[in-house]
Amino acid sequence: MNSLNTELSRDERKLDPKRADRRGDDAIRLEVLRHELTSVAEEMGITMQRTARSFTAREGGDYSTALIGPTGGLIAQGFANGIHLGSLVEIMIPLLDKFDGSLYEGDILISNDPYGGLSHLPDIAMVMPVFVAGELAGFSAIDLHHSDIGGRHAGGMGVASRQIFEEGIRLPGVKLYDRGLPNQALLDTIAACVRTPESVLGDLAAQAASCRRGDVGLRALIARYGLVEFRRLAEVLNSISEDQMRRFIASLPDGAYRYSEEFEQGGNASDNAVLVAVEVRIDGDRATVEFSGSSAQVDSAINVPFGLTKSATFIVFRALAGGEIFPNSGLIEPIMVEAELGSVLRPAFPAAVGARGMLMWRLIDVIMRALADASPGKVPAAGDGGANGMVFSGSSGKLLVDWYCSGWGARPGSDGVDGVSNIILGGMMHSLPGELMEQEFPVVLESFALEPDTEGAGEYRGALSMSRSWRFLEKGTVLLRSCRADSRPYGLAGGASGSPNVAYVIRTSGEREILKGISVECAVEPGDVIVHIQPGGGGLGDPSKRDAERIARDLRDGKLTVGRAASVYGWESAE
Amino acid sequence: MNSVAIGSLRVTFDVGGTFTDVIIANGDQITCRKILNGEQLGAVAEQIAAELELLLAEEHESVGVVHGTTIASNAVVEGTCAKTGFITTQGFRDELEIRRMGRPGIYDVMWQRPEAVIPRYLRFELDEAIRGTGAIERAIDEAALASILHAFSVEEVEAVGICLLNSHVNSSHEERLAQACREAGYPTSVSSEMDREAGEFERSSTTAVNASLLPVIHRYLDEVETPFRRLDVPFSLMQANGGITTPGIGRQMPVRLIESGPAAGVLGAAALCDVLKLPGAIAFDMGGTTVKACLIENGLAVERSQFEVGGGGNISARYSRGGGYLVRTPAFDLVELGAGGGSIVWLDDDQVMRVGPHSAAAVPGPAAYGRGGTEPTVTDANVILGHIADGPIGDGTVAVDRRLAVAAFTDLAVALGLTPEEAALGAIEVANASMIRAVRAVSTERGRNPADLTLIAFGGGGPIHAARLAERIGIQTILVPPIAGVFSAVGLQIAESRFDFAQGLASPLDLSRADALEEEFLRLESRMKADLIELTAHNGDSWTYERRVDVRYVEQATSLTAALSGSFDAMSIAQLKEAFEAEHEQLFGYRRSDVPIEVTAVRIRASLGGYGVPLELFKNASVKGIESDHPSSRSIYVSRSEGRIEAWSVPRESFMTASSQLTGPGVITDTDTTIVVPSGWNVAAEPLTGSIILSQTT
Repeated sequence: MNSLNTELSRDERKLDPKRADRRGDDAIRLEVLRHELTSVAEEMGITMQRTARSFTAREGGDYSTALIGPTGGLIAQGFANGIHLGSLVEIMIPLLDKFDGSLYEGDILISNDPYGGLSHLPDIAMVMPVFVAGELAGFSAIDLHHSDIGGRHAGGMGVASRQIFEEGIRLPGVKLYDRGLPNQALLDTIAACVRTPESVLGDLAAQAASCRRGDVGLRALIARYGLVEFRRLAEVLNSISEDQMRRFIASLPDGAYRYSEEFEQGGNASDNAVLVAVEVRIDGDRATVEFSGSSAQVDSAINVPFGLTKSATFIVFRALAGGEIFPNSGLIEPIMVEAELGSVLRPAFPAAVGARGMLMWRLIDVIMRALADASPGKVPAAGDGGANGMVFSGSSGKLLVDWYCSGWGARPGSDGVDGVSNIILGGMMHSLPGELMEQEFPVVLESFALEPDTEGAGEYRGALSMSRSWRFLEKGTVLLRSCRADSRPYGLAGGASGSPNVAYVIRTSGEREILKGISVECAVEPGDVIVHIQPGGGGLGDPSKRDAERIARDLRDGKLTVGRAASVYGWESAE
Repeated sequence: MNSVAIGSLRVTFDVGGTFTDVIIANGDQITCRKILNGEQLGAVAEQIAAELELLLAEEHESVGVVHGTTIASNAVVEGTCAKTGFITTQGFRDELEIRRMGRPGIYDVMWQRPEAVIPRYLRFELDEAIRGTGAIERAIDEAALASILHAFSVEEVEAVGICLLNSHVNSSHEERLAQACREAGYPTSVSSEMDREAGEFERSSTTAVNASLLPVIHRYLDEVETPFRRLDVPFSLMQANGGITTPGIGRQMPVRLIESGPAAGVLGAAALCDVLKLPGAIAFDMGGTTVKACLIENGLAVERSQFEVGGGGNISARYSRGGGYLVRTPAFDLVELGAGGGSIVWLDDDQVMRVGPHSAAAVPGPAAYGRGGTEPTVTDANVILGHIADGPIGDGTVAVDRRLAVAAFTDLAVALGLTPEEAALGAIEVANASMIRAVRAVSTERGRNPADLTLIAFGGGGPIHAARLAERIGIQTILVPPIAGVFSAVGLQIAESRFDFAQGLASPLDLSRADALEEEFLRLESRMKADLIELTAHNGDSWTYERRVDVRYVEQATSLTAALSGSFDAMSIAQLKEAFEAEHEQLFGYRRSDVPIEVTAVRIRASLGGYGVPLELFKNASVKGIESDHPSSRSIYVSRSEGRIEAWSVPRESFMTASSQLTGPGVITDTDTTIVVPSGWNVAAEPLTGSIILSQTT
């Protein structure tokens, strides 16, 4: 509540007589409907969270709920991992096509097809048609990241797969419920293909419950407003969000803004670096975001399906536009996304996509950087680059999956936030406490700390690196996921890059081995310690202009040493 | 049971934003009034003590003073806690800042994280290690401890918090540190004395917040408690768990006082459900700055084991967390939204009406109060519509002026091409729509359909908004308790002593472990009894002890709390399992009877049971106010089609005595609030508790 947004909206409160063209009643009805739609979508989220089975679903926060119009446009969003914003719209295109005229009350469609709008196989979407007086009035939909989906890698996110056939079971958009009756053959088949059948079936049941909650809620709303009036209001809400996005785009100078970065490697150690290149063209109140020039698809699982590429683009615009744009299809209307079929950002079937998250983070950084040229001083510098995690498979069979983040790049007018879940995504991601880790796994969390002097320097500094280290009490294998070891998080407007990703293992002999690569495996013996120092955030603006009070506070807090303060910021001690 | 009424004297005072609500229950004589808060709360306390002294001339069976304070919540939210040092295990200094990485608002790239409750330069790491088994891996580095203490003295910290890794299993290192800090003269909070459950962030945060409140609460109580101490009258404080506690515990564990105001109101609502045997209800408390909703099941408010202070007033922040300060202390599980009467009504760039989150709060307050506010608020909308009458309110120092409310709404109404009445009605609809989200969320979270529940409406705004809100949700019945406008203060009157103790552990729930688990309970009990004797004036024999156990299916993320009757044996374990599985099924929709169950904590709640003062005593209570005319009708703007109508208006007292039934539209006036009865609603008196029942005519 005490964010800058509050301040912005305070100004927004001023009346602008030029815009006084909305009819009085609508000014009220629209806001009431926004609350009502959000309430339904929120209840869908609460229902899912309440009835889900897996730890991933209940604690990971990696799901989204939505209400969708009869022609596939997003009407409202509930609890959301922002990255699903586009996916739930993308899948509607093939589903509406395939099931045209053959949808009935009580049907629930299911899909996890990356070649049908979704992002990788563990993300399973369910879509339920909502009927009012026999007429298709819309859909309730939920997308959830499942704990497993079969295939060669537990969890379905391994980098090494070369084709999607290796990655698990693929559901191409079929009926899971037909007029209220479950498709038991399909459920049995899914259960037979995954490592965690109880979790997956339990979570699927939770998703179906969530869809039904949305169905009831949406029908109640339409009953009160009447279908015609409901559609009209939803249309107006759409056009408001579209106007808001157009105003943001129009505030950017016309022109073409380009940026590209190399991603460390194609995923399989032998591969060359992958280029992520974007050109953002601003033309009045429209934007075209084109990824031609990016590398061709690779023989590993880091390819980003096109639906996700679009999603990532939309949420960058959504986040940078600021304010409180109501999440519906209106806000994506003015943005056109283009990528060549067969590129790493629009892979052709049957490319593998399980580990698409790694490149997706880079994609977000690249789009943001291009927009920073369009809107200098209004875009954050790069943060930790996302996708950091440690998976330990112990000899006793225990499997620990530990996800964590580092921090944000500097923002206009403020430092990057230290030690927080990734910018734009991941607000509902929570770290596992050391005491719980130690209780359940033969692993001791040794530290979870901010590293001094690792910030990207600037008038506003990036976040410090956050390090995480573990001591293993039993023999096993560690898979460490990371990025930005070579291409450090960029600074902006004279701000320096953040410090790079560094990881190493300290053997009981005291010997250190560097762990290098975006996905590196390491055998550990009891007593070995792995240290993962994640990247620091990039800085913004000339470090010599940094406010003395901010420098003094970092010095006082031990986030900065006197030597670095002097050499980087030109700090002169008072003594 | 210790619910003595006649012959006892209980004085309660509840400090709000603008007024302090005072209730005196002298035998069956109840008097309530409001005192405008001055600069010095001590002066208010002196005034109440002076009044009490006069009453003490008579003999009473028992005498007590109960105080509800927002001092702890305010200090945390406003960042006015004391300068505090913190000691933690090597490697974990930054946890108070990082929290668990969460943050509210997924799209907000400009988000500013609230400062850590203790800044980094005052957080120190100590070389020591205790493993999760309790084994000491590395002893305390005494030299390092000495240099930390030196640093504390150089920095002149006012208090110290201590939380070491795995101290919930083995507290010996923390005890050593606590001893050193206390010897050095610092008020000290130690995690193992506060919270003995796993999760180092939750323990650290609770301990740090608590430590930094110690000097604040000491100064505060020195001022507020002293007048009563002089009279030698037992003085108690309201807690977030719905019970009262001693100043000794309040001074030692001020975190327990956070959110105690809202808890008092919820306790009152729960008591109402208990007396009237209502199976399910929602407490709906609308005040000047916030709206609170809490689910009540079978006369008991739903509880939670931790919450965030200042975490931001929306539903999704409840799930993402990270926007405030986490404290792990038993509390009622309420949703709090920044949507009270002071919420400002405005138009955004797209000419859509918005309500909040900015609030005119207590200062300057709604425009109609004439205290400097000029922006239109929800309260102003209620004034325009006729829900709130012109004239003096509270202790008479503030008066409502409808013209000021209309003036505040004029620009907005003109911009929309509406009359001020139409704009005001719209503002109420928007405000209600946001509040409905909270009511729906607390029900859905527990797998309940809100339409099946009774709405219990109180706070200044609750009874005004309740009927329209209920219509939208499909709720058929509303209960408005007596003196609804100051019902939280009634909560202080009925509250009884309640102390919670817990010990985290990890053990299968299995007959073969019964002895070991029983041992844990006995250890906790002896610790608890020592604390009770040390910190309360009560004789330990009159206490009721409830044993509760946190259990979960193995590998599950969260535990549920279930009651254990008696000792751990075959029968009680079977009952516990069944209670857990039944609860699990209600909440989550399934059982997993083939999966083993494990215990994650044992808990004991010590309470005096019953109610301090029975709720029924308040049935005829009213707030001493300013005598004003009671016109028999009031002009209310009901809808665009019907416009203004003359509706009946009856003062609550005469309505209750006539015990008649009326049909809306009309209003029942009460000091501090109005019960708005729209058409389509019947209203009747509920004689047992003095509540008013609204029911939809079908």
